[in-house]
Amino acid sequence: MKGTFLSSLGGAYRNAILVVAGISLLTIFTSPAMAADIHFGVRCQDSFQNTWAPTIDVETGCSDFISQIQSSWPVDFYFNLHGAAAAFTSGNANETCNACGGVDSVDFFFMSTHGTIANNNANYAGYAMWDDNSIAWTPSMRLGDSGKQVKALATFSCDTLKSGDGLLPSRWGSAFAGGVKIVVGGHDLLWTGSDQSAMQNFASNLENSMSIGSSWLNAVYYANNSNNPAVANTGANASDCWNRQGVNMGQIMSESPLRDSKVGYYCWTNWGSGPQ
Amino acid sequence: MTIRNRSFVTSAVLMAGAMLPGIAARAQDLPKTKAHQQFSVTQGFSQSTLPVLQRSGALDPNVVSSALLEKLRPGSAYQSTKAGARLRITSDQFSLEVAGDGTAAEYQDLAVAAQAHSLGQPLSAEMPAAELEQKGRAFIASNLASQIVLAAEEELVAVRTDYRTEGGQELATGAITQAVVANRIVFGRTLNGVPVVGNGSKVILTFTNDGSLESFRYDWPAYQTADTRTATQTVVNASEILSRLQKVVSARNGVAAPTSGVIVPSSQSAVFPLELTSNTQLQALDCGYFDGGSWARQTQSIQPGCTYLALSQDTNGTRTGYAGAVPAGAQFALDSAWRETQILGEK
Repeated sequence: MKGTFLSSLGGAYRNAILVVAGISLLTIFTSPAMAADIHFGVRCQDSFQNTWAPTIDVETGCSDFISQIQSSWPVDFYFNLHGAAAAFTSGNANETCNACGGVDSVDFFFMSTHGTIANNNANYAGYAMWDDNSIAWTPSMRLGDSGKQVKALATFSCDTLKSGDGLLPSRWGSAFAGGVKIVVGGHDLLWTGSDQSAMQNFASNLENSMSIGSSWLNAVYYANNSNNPAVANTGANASDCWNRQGVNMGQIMSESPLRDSKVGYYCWTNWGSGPQ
Repeated sequence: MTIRNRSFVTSAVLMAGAMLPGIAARAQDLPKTKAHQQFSVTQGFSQSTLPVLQRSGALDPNVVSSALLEKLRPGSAYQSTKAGARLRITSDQFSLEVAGDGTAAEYQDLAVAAQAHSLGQPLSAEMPAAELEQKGRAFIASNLASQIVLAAEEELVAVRTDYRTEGGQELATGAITQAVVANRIVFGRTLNGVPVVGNGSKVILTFTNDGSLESFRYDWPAYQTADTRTATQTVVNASEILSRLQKVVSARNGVAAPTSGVIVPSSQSAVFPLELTSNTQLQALDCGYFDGGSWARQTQSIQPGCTYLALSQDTNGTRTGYAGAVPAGAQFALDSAWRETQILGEK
């Protein structure tokens, strides 16, 4: 059993990572029923420095996700996104640092914040950090080949898995080259605040042995029928890619990662309207 | 948002992208739904008063699951566990989850879902709305008649269609393939012609391209009139609904509400998107009885309300979607599970 009192982080980290107020995350354990010890990390952000990005209400959903998932698997941390870009940057020490909320310091990383496609280069997808105009861009990521080697990334964020323009492999090439096995998010708008049970349902579906992709697609769609959830992954070829998209929590740890030139195919599945 | 570190650019570009050809298989609200949305934003409600309702008809989840499995999976072996208040049924062929009050359930046929990819069709071959509605009604009549019960003056109405699409890209050639692999119909309910809006009173069915049912989800309580003290509410007009919506969006995105109100569109054609503030547009508005559903934090009562979709876009192009429901009663009740009632305060 491993427990982390977030508020007791060392001073070096205190300025960079602030604990999300009002959340106590004390109990971390693994159910005997769950074979693999899959470690989760969660980072979410409602409001932004100098209101550089609009306020959203996503942290309740993050708490709901944690309250459900921690009955089956350990949640190492729940942090906000203050000073967090480094935690997503390939080669930065924070990337693999569990106490820093690094993406490659856990097996399954869950995040909720604004998502976007860069308005001056469509090959960039990005996630808004709290800091004024700070964005974690996908081309600076290499997910899954260092530290604990993150296997799954789930982000309740708009647009980052946009596929209708044919540029998803370009935007995500660097990130997937690290071997991350599956990414779920939005290919268009994800509406906030409509039904805060969505993330609890996502967690429940994961526990229910539903594939990670279907868990996300169903939970997010059912929360609001106007949502546009998406799942994306890689394969050596088309057949391999579609097989891998069916991975569930019981398989995610043992599935072999594909890195760099081993990636021959990208595949994605969407519900919803497509580009507006 | 703008990239500032140009050094990332060259390493990011793996291949040139191109807009994919125009595609079908787009989600859409059905014509009656669109017409109701237009009416909501121009008129609000047809009625001047509406009764306040309560969800009722709670059932033992074990009874509900037994009834469903008798229809869907007679004789199948399965495991049953409790997940909080929910009842979870699993096997290697299907999964079923029933809400704690027994009024909602979610089912997935894992074997059918596993076949969906192999049955993919060109995007233009999506299942037409009329066929989806017919299949959906037939499935409900055959398999869910004990759960989807209509009282007098209630109707089951088709609301929208959606399609699950797949895409793939071969890196060596850049060739992209796309397919529609599942077809979805959403049904709702009207009470004396007034729709229930929100996630309550919904039946959502998904079919693969060979017509097999892949999954369904329903949230279908019975409704009864609330106690006499709060039995009816006078509903506000479209102008007040839009004014409330401005305040709510302002409170949610942290930007001060404009001093000028929204002008109610005079025409019922093409009113969306409607400018709410300088950077926020109303994309949809549906007025009726608001029921957030059994899976969400349940409201204490079912009051008149209007669900909305409001889209903000900042100067960097970042988009933010706000969804929710504003209360529509002139004197509405505060509800801790309905955030907009708290934003607007007791009326």
